[in-house]
Amino acid sequence: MIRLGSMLPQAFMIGIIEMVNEAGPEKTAEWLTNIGKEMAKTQGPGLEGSPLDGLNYLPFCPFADELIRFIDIFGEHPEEFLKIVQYAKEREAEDKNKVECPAVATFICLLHNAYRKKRAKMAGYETIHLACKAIMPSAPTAYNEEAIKVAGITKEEVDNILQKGSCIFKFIKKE
Amino acid sequence: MDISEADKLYENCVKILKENQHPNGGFYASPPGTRYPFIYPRDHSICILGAISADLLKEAKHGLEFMLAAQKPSGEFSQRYDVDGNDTSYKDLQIDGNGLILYALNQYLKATGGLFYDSLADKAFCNQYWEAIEKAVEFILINKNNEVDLIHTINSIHEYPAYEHGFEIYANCTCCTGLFGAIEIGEALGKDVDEWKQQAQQIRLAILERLYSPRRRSFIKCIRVKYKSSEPIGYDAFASSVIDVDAVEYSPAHFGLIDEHDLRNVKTIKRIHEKLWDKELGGLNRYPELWNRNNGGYGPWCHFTCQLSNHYTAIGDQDMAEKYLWWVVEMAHDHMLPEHISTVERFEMWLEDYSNARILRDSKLTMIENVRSHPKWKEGFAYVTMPLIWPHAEFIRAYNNYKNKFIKR
Repeated sequence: MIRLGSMLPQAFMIGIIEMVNEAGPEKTAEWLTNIGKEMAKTQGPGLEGSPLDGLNYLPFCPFADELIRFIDIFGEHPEEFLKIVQYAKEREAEDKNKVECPAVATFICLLHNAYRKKRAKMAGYETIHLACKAIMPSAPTAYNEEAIKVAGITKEEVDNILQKGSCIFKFIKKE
Repeated sequence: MDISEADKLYENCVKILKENQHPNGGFYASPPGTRYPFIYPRDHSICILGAISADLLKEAKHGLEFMLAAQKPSGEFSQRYDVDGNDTSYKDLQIDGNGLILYALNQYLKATGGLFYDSLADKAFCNQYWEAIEKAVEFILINKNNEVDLIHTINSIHEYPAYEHGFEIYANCTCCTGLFGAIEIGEALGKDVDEWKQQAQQIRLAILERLYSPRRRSFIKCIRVKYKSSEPIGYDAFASSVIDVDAVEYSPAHFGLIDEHDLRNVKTIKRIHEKLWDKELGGLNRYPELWNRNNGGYGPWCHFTCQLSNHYTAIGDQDMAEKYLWWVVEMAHDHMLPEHISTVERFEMWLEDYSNARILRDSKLTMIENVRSHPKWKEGFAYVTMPLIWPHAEFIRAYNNYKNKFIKR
């Protein structure tokens, strides 16, 4: 049940569905990325996550609960959400600089990665996003193979971290 | 009290404080390679106050520079930072950090001036950071609820929203004293701070009226309110109060908002001592056992024990001041202090509760290993997070107060 006092996150997700239908997944992906960057500016420089052997990870996705609530109410994987993920993957396939791309398990990864990346950039770090575990069991985990290579670890090691976490990334100090 | 033992602990506390300041200025909460190798504004501020008390004014200034430069664009100080001043927080708002930094800054200003405040105080430093001071004050004031004139927070000193989300006493006292500190700085610099004065007075009055229970003759922990802008707050989803005893209910006097002899404070201290002095181990617990949230088992905390000793020192009760401080001296291991002390039995009970509930995580597993491998384990003690820097700074402050009152005459 949606309570009035806590309906804004759900309303935001309805808005995303509307946006995909009105403007398409490309514009929506760009919009979500811009929101992440703008939010980052309000917070200043920062490095997210728990440090672990030169990487950082999040024990759980901070958006998972709201997303699961939404899916519980509106049905698993609204088509519009999948369209955004699909678009992000196609864009990554065409991108010459794949290491820079987010590992997108859900549409919200675009906003989150843009936020994390911008804050790290303000702190003087580049960010590479290695993997993100899908929130819904039926959806696949997203990997950025190039980023995993650059981080110097194997996919098995990434999977081991994902046993206790949901999202893995690495901050690289800019020279 | 064995003064020579206390002196040795004091000397080591000063050494530890110096050794745990990163070259960039931040005081680690615990040394690199241990549990909390980050800079937490709350711990860091107390370390600055410890440095001031130990006459380490250069170190105090460096600590202030570090934190003032790390302020977020909104004026907030985050839960924690890395050694380069990057926000690495993972918890929601803890607004007491804003109050503590302003308070520490004003204490630094006063210490640099001493008896010749007008001519010697480091006003140039405060002037350099005036914009950060203004932003820190504004951030506190945007979190003030206009119905009750109290500051809203999500976390406070125990980082525990279940009991601290709302108008919490430590957060309100630190913010209020921080505002008064900013006002004093502003006046020294010739700034117009009239509006801040009015706001600080409102908050002080609200603390004394709304966070005090005449029937219990004690300050209370918190008025739980979910949203800072709820008005009327009676309709807020959380609307309730936390009346459990908590060591930080001493905050109104500790931060100079009321006199130590004020009956409201004296009676509050009586309740704290009766309910939180550990009957088995001695020392002061931070809150009741049933909160069941002491990682590593219920037990007394060195820094809260030091804090409360200041009350007994201030009112001239040497026996009680000594009882509190001597406990800290006695419990030190190799002249170092842990976060808190528990017993093997309590540790195992805590471990069982947390294992059953499946709420142990990696950092706690490391802590468990460290507690079990500490030499005190064989004596039946669980020394948790050793050393934590904060209690060393508190001991410096409390012991200097004690010596100034009872020894240096």
